Amino acid sequence: MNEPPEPPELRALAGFASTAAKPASEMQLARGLNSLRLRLSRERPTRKRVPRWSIIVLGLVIFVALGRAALSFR
Amino acid sequence: MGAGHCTISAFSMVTTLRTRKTGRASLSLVVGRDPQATSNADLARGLIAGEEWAISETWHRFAPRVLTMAERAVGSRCEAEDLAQEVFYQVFRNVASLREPESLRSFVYSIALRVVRLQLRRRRLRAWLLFQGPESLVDSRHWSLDLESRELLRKFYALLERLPPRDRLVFVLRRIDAMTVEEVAAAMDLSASTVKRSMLYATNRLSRWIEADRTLKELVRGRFTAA
Repeated sequence: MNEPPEPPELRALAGFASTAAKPASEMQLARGLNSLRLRLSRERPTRKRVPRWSIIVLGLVIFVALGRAALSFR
Repeated sequence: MGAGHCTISAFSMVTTLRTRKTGRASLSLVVGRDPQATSNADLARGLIAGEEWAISETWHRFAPRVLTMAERAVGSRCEAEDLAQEVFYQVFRNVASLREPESLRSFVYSIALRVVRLQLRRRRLRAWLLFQGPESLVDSRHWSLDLESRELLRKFYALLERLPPRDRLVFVLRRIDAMTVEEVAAAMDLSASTVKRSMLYATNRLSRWIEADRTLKELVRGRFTAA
């Protein structure tokens, strides 16, 4: 399968997005490394159980899905 | 570093205390290796051994690429920084599971792509739950560009938000990050034909949406044909 030809607008936009992301500066890298070290030093062993937030999110997803389905029948 | 080794400066010089069979101790200065010249395999071994220099070198070697890729994929520098933190946290936690130390680079990038893809899924889910449109997900505050360029990018990323995460990531890696089909396939653990199919889908969709958006089309033509 060959790759599809791109319209010039899409090619131009992709090229522009590519140049918009500037490389990280030394200061940003140093700051990132410090934060990472801090996080690594603070880490605690994780508990092997289902986190509460996932149950809440699942409940919310079901609630919104039912809401959307109900609205679509109106 | 094991016991008996004392690091004087980071990597320039190492003072080694050697105890011989005679029981006499001697001090010798040996020139340490430059971390930047360390191979990925040695770096991985250093990480597994929990060496401090390996953490720093891994970050400096791979973080710029991960940050750029994440920024191009999600369209936000702040979010990309958070994602890079998560990527390297996972790398350092799971490096012991790396069977071939030579493949540290692909190990880091595969975790990076997994984290970015998960983030894109989360954003989509959040937008769906909050009844938000794709435009609301684009954070254009960090772009230090003129108003027109910022508007152009905002519109482009709003279109990308409408794509499914896998197709979006394939498109970004192939077109914005300029990776080959084979590289994208290897990094995302997909077949080459799946990557091409994803590209076809993403390109068709994006082309259609650009065609339908007259403002965007005029903005692109005005900017890129005038240059």
